[in-house]
Amino acid sequence: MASGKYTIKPFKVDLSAEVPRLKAQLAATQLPTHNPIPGGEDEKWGITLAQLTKLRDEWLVYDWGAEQERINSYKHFTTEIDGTTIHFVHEKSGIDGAIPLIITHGWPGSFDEYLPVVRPLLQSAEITLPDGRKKKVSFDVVIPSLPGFVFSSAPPTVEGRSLKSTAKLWNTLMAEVLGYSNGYAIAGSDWGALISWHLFDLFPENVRGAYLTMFPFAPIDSAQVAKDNQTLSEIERFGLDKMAERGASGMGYFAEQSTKPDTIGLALQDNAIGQLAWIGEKFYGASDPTGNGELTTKDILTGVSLYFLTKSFLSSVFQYAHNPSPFEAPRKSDNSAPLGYGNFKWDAIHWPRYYVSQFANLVFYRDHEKGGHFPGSDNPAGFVDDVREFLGVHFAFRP
Amino acid sequence: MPPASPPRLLRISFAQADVERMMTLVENTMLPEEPPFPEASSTWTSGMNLPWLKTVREQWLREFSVDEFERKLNLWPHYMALFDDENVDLHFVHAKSSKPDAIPLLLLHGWPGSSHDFHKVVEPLTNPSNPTAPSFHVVVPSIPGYAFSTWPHRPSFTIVDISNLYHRLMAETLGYNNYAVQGGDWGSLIARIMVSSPKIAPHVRIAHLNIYSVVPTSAQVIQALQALVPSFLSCIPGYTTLVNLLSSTLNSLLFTPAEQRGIASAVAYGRTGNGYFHLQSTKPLTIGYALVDSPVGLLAYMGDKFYDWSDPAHLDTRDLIETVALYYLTRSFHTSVLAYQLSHEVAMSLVFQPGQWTAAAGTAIGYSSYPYEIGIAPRMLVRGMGRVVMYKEHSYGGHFAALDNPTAFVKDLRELAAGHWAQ
Repeated sequence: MASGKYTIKPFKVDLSAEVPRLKAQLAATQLPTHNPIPGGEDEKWGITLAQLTKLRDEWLVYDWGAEQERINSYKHFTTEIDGTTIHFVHEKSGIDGAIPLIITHGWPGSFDEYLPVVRPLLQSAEITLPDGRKKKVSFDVVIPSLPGFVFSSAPPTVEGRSLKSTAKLWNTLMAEVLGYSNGYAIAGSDWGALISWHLFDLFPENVRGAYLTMFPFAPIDSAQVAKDNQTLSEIERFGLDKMAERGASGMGYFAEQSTKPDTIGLALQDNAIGQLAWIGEKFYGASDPTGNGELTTKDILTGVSLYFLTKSFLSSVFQYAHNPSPFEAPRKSDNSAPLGYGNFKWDAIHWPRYYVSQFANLVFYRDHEKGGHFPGSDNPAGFVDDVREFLGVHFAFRP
Repeated sequence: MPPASPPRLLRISFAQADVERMMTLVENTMLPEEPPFPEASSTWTSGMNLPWLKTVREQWLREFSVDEFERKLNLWPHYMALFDDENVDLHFVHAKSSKPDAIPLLLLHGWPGSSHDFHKVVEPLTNPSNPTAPSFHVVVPSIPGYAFSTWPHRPSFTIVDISNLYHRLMAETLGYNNYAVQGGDWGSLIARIMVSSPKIAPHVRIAHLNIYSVVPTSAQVIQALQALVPSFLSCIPGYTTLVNLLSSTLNSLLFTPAEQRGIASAVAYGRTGNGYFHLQSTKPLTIGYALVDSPVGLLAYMGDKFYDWSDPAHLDTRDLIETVALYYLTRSFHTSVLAYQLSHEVAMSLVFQPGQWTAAAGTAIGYSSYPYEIGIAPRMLVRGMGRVVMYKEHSYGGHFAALDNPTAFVKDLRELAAGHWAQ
């Protein structure tokens, strides 16, 4: 199948051959028998022995075959753009007027974290417009793997890994490869949100709406909020406090991956327990801990399995080294298209409404009690409702 | 204070099953065919270099012999001393000189080092070929949580506690009422604590450091001043060039070339070389559990520092392999990194508030700088510590000075002792 000069190949995930080695390695790895800090079974020291042991034990009996089947029940493809193989899930609504939507994950995420939102978004759902009229909304959904992650190859140059380069790849994917030439919408979290931002900023004629949970601008703190004379909602306040705490204690991985990606990458590349500890800590630390969140340990294991079985952990951490300063001073985008923001309470970084409204035409901002850094898995219904309402009301194809 | 238990002799011997397990993992751990980016194969700018890692892994497989390693370790007697009230069973090497009036010398390692850091200097220190040179009774402890020293399983355990323990080892367990201390890395911080302790310092006649990690107040002032410069100024064409020119002119007026080089390497460390420090200071058990059972993982992670901080012309990768083997076989990696969290506050005080850690007695202090060390403290800075009687600049060697320039390491200690031990 070809679209102009681009070839689109159907793709099936087939990593089963790698699994016996993973299981054997896991079974053979010895963890300490007890925590060296008595009474220290809390995340202040890193992933706890209880968390790690539980994840490891579950991984030993984890059925990759079933997960692979689930993953393959979606339509996957690959294409080549600028010498990079891009993998993506592509599901079409089949309904006229469906909004094309590309959703981008981050690190340590993957396309898999957004699979729970795909089928609901394909459905025709009814929303109420501001003037009271009803409207049916549905989406065509595209979920790519970031370059250098899982099934997407790493670009051959350092510059090719930059946020703007990936944004350009995504625009080519949507507008040229997949033929969404009348405009499309974007969504993203973590690195996916930063890339999506640049996509929004660089291609105003194509990107007609963006729903993001992160921005490439330096986050603010409570002191700044006070200076700006602003009042925050409870969840906005909660988010800033949590962020302050995390800033002091949660950025070690960031410093290491930004400066020595080869060191941590090679140390953990063929080290399943290593990746489980390193990545598991991030999932635990930035997800809904109340029991209400829908992210499960199985989701974590699928995420780590995808990195480990494709041998892409090493490549994934270069995302940091090749984008060492992703945050800039805030500015307003030239794209006047609507911006939406989902404020998931347990996320790691938060952006008060008044602050986000400086970046673009913010027309939608919703606080969520449930969910965290991986909203597609942690609160898929919240994500879906937000995207439907926001884009259903505000998205319009290019006239 | 309960009486110190007499030390128990320890013959180092690793279980064959453990060694086989280690070597199997070293062999079977897969490394990528190609580095992820072309430039990563010829540089170290992204951290551990893949071709180098493969070479050292091959060397490990080809050359490492546990019998040879044990023989090397057991050249000198090892002991365990139980400090029940501290919940620490402390390992140390105790190599006595044949000369009864030899100087008791405490050699202190850091991370990712070990007591094995000093294996090249024990012989010349205890048994100099020149009979008129000073000789030493050498004591080399392992920091609690490293190698054979047990981890105390306490939620609070800092380098202040460790310095007290080391003093008790020398004064009570071994009966050395007066002694010398030498330290690098964490060992240098422990040595500084001992020299600044009113209780311990009177016993420490000589102290030698091969690193003096202090950020001078002036640097903090400069940083604060720089933060005040309006951003529009820095956009003026030529501004950066002008600032750099002024800095380099000032630097060359104030500092020797070695000092300037050291300042530059300290700045580089702060910019790209201390990710591990942030990580281990905040989430030590994440990296701890991730690597404790991975010899190749440890080789990559620890090897990064051995390479980065050593003189490449003098780094012997056997020392790295043996150090990693020691960490792995004693399953101590995850406890070794805890110091960064537990002693973070004390360490920051030593670095940023050196005025609070000045010498409490008349200890004669010596400092030696090696070109591949993380930063070099200019003379004016070291003098703030106390009675600095020796300041040396060496032409080769690095952070693990006893490994990559043992000749200078020994010579400096002898000179310091000859000049300042007798009172």
